Amino acid sequence: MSKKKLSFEEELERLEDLVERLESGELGLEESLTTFEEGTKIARELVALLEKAQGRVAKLTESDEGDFVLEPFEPVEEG
Amino acid sequence: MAHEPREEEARQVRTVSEVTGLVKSVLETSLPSLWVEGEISNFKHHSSGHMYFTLKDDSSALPSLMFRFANEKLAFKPGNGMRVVAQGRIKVYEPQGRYQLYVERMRPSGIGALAQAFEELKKRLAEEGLFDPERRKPLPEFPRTVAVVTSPTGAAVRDVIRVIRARAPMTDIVVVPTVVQGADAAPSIADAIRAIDAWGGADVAIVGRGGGSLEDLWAFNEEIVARAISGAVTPIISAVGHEVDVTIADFVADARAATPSNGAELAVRDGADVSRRVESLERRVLGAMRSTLSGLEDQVARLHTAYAFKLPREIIDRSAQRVDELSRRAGSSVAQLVAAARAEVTRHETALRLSDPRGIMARGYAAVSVLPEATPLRSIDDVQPGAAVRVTVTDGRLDCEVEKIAGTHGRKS
Repeated sequence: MSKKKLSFEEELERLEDLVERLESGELGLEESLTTFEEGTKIARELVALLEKAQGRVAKLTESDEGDFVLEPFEPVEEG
Repeated sequence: MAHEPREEEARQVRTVSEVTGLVKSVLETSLPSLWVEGEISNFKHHSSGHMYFTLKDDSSALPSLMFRFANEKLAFKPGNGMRVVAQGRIKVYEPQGRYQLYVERMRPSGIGALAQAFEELKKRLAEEGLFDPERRKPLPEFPRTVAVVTSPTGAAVRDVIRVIRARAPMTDIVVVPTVVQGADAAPSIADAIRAIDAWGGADVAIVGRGGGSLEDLWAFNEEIVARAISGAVTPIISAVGHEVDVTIADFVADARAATPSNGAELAVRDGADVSRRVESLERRVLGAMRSTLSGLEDQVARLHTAYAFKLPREIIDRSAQRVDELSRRAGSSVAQLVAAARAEVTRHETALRLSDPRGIMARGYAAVSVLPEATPLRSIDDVQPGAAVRVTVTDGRLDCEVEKIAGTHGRKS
């Protein structure tokens, strides 16, 4: 999955905005159609993200030089 | 004693300073930073601000001092007879040839004393305004990355990862390993919080550990942790111990969770709820498109009625069906949905064009209405001979009087 250009939050806000504009009934036909197209597309993408995207688990360490290093992290099962 | 001078020669004779220096170097290099528990006696708070006292137990005494820069950070007021745990280094004070503990940090020992230290620090930080609600930063609604400041081997980190994975699998989790108990815990936690800000990649951080005794959780009651949390740019959720455990970290954090698992719940929203929200928005998109299309359909129908021009009934019926289908097609692709909507619009536009009276009038037809109300004339039954009617053509109108009425099949009503 390409790193999302917009955050989930921004996409969701965009969708809410599109719904409101579409529901206002003030859009022309062509504009309604493009709004409808974009809204449906965003909704599908958001659902796909929620269901399929898998984030990673990493460990953050700081070197003596102040550089940050991310390494894969696997929690140990023994506590 | 003939051998005595020889022995004296064999052994190196040292100065007092040399011996003291030797002791100093042996002591100070072989003893790392220590934690010492003991009772305070001979306590003196000198006018310079430095504190001098002796830590003792049943059989030994350890001369100690705490410089002003260090004792200014104390969360409690030390005094004779108080049991404390002090951290510091053993150093040799050469002029007096004695070693002493240079205390860097100190806290009361025992539950009663801890509770007192807790109350004193809480009061002091509250007066400073560190607990003011308006200082709290809002938590992001949909964090992309959640940092977790805790032990990499404890139950807390596993709980947090499990809960976030279940609720919001797309979230990245970054564990910042720290010590959460004992002498090094507080500075380690404070450093981790500063590191998260310096790194800048986390949208929110959970700081905490699993349950334990009051002393186990003590690091979260230390001032340096409180200040690190309060000064953090990244919003911080404190998640220490169990529901009943309240720490200073809880008061300064932007949100307080009862447990580490609860911290994870506060950090990310439940994906199932978010899915429902998105799906409801998609339904509204479809619904709004549908009503836009039916608005168009009504427009066609109105024109149709107003001018009594023939528009095949099937077009409207089929259109209505297509519009209904749109909202049932939630399972089909966006491209298909849009194509269906677009086809619908085209259909309506054609219907509108067909119904536009101007186009029809241009071909030689006229619209007739009955005066004075200008109601559409649909049938010979609408008028009597002598009635006034208005004839509208493409470029104007004629007001006329009905002279004679005849039915299409010679019928006269």
